[in-house]
Amino acid sequence: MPVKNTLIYHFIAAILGVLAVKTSVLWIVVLAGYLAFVIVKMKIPRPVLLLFTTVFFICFGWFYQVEDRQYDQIEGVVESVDGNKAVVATALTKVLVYFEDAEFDNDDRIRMDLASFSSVPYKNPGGFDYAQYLKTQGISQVAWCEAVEVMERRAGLKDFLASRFQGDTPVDSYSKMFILGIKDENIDATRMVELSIIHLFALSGMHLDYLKELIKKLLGFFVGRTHMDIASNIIIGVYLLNIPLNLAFTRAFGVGLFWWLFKDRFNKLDCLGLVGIAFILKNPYVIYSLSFIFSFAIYLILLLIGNFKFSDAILYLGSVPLILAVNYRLNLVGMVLAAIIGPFVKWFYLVILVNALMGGALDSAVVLFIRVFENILTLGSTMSLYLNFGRPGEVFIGIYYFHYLLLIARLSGNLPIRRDIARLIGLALGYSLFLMFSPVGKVVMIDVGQGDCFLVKQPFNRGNILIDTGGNISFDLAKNVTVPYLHSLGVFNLDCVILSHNDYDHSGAYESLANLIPIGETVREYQGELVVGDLALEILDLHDYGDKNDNSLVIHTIINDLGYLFLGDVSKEVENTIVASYGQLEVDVLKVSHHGSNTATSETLLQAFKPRLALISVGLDNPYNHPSFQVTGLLESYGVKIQRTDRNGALEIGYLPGSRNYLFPYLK
Amino acid sequence: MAKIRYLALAFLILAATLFEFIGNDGTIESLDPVIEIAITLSGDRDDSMVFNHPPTIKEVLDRAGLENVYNFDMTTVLQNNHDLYLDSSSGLVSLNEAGIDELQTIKGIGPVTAMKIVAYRNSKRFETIEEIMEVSGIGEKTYLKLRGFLCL
Repeated sequence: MPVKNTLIYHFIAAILGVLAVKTSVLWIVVLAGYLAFVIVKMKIPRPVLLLFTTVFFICFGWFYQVEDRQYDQIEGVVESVDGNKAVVATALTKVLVYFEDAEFDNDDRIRMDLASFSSVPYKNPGGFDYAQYLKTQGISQVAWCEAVEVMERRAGLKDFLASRFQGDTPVDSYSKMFILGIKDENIDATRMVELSIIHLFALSGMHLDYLKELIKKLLGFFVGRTHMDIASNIIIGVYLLNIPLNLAFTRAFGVGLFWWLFKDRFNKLDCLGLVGIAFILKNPYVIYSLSFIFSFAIYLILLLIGNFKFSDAILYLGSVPLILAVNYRLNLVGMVLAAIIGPFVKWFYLVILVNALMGGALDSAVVLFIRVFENILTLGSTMSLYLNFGRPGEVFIGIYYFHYLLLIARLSGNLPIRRDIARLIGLALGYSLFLMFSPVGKVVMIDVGQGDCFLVKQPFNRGNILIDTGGNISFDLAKNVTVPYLHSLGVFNLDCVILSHNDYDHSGAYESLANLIPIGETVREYQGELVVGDLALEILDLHDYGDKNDNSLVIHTIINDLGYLFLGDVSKEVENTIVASYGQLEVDVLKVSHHGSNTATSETLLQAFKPRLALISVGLDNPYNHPSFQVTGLLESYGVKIQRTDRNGALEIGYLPGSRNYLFPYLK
Repeated sequence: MAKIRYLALAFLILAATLFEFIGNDGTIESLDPVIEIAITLSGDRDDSMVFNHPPTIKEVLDRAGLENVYNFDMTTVLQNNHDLYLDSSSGLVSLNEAGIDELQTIKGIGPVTAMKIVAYRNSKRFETIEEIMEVSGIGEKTYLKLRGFLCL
């Protein structure tokens, strides 16, 4: 077959092609370089075929569009149900629906009335990109289920498996995790991610191998060797089709299946390439899915390394940029833990499987494993030692992987790699130091929806200040939005947090924030001038008003030659007093008071200070109609540029000391 | 050889730092607030004008080429998006001088509204006709119905 031994190259070309079309045209440069290298330097046979594949996937990626339309009514099949949400597959797309009572099960055919809502209320770079995650799942709409009519009920293995582990006990939760691949609230995924061991608890090729071992041992009594493989593949195939879609597991099974079927024609790299191409054809956005990236990258590296003594360590080195892209820092304790906990996870997994098959007869053994595991997590978390980074830049990732590929090449050529390893470690350490003492300073309006949260990050790690924390009653803002974003910016501690007043949308997230990130000083009351690092902040001395909002701390500071005024939630009356007492202040950037409500932003204020930029931190479709059109109209008449979080997401103002101040809105 | 390495490293650090500034949406320094206060005229004259600062009534009338036959205090400052109503016809009821009975001769003003108007002008003179909308109970619809009968 003409494609033998080259399918992996087609697969990589397909990925680069889709990236060029869906992410940035700049990937064409990488694609061209890759094709030149593979065709000219490595001289693969039949290069025309590779070019054809490349062009095909560029076109395919170009024409493949995720459905944009939001439907009021859909008809389709329930693909999966999890708690109070389900994925329904219609003829054109998939919809994620939230509902109160489940009147339907997996595989049922239903008709549903929907009320769509925006699933991305917080738009910040860094942190989990939910919009993209939905795309990788092929989901184009998120909605409430208003009414549902079950047109056809179908019972199946999916329902059986889902209901089998329905309960609330730890045994049920861990069984669900290892057998269905679903993590519920009883599973502390956060700590597992922090300790870099989460990959051991997400169904993957490793688990497939253990499962195959177990099946072979059990079936060995009934089935002969020749039929063993067929039986095992059928059992696992059926199992796979009836659990929620798991990319890593499917990848492992797919590669194993193709290898078993075509081992005289294809090698394992070809099989990997084939499975990968199949995934991309199903949904090209899958290349952005973390499971896809991790599982294919790790398996590829494993295949390239072959049977090397320290393959685990080499694998870990290769996954460093990926870990940084998700966690923004390396947990050194986690690194050690990940290396030694393997056998424990294997036995944990097998005990859970056997317990499930035996109808819960080994529950007490499972409970023991759970206890031991949770103790390990606690110990690991307490002892954690971090090497901090921030969001890894493309330049770093490129250089790192360039050297890593050199290492792999030398390893397969049986050359010594000590220098390469030292180089990679040096690169990582150097990058960490570079980010820690970065000369770039930032002022950031974080998108916390309806609320305020502003970060000042000084150059050379001279001090980080947070003004207000935002707050959402039904959602842990600090854990899910603020702290991940701070980490991605390379901010791992806050020297000072200033709370303008104790309204929930300004200070509600403080408690959770304090548990997640070290905070130096917290300022809630007037105290004149505040000096943090190289920055002096002035809290304006205003008399006491009767009203909580009017008594907000008002802060003025000059950062890189620009004057900033943070007005909290004060009213026009207070603003006019500020003009009277502090009219000579330089104000280039105005944090508009009270989310653009028309109780604030007086014309007197604008006439006196003539700001250039107005920052409005406000939630999409908030019930108060903030910002009022009178305020935005007034700002426009005064020629002030408006940046609002509901439309533009977060805003970063970046500078080098002495340079101009550059604007980086998350959405333009 | 070592020198080139250090040079390359320094260049790399510089490039990586500057790379972060790609894709910016402009600088704050380049923002030049241009003030555009919009004033419209209605009644005797339909017009719209733009000033680079909140104008006095004098500046507005001067630009329109009109005399102050309306009894305006010419030093009154108008704010953004103000619609200045001008009516020089005779026989109009004065908001600032008329008594409660005379005010009630206007269809749409009853005893309660008349008293409110008087109470308002006791603390502050009406500077424009549209200021009548500051009196509680008189909104834009009522103002538009009444203004043809009023003067200052």
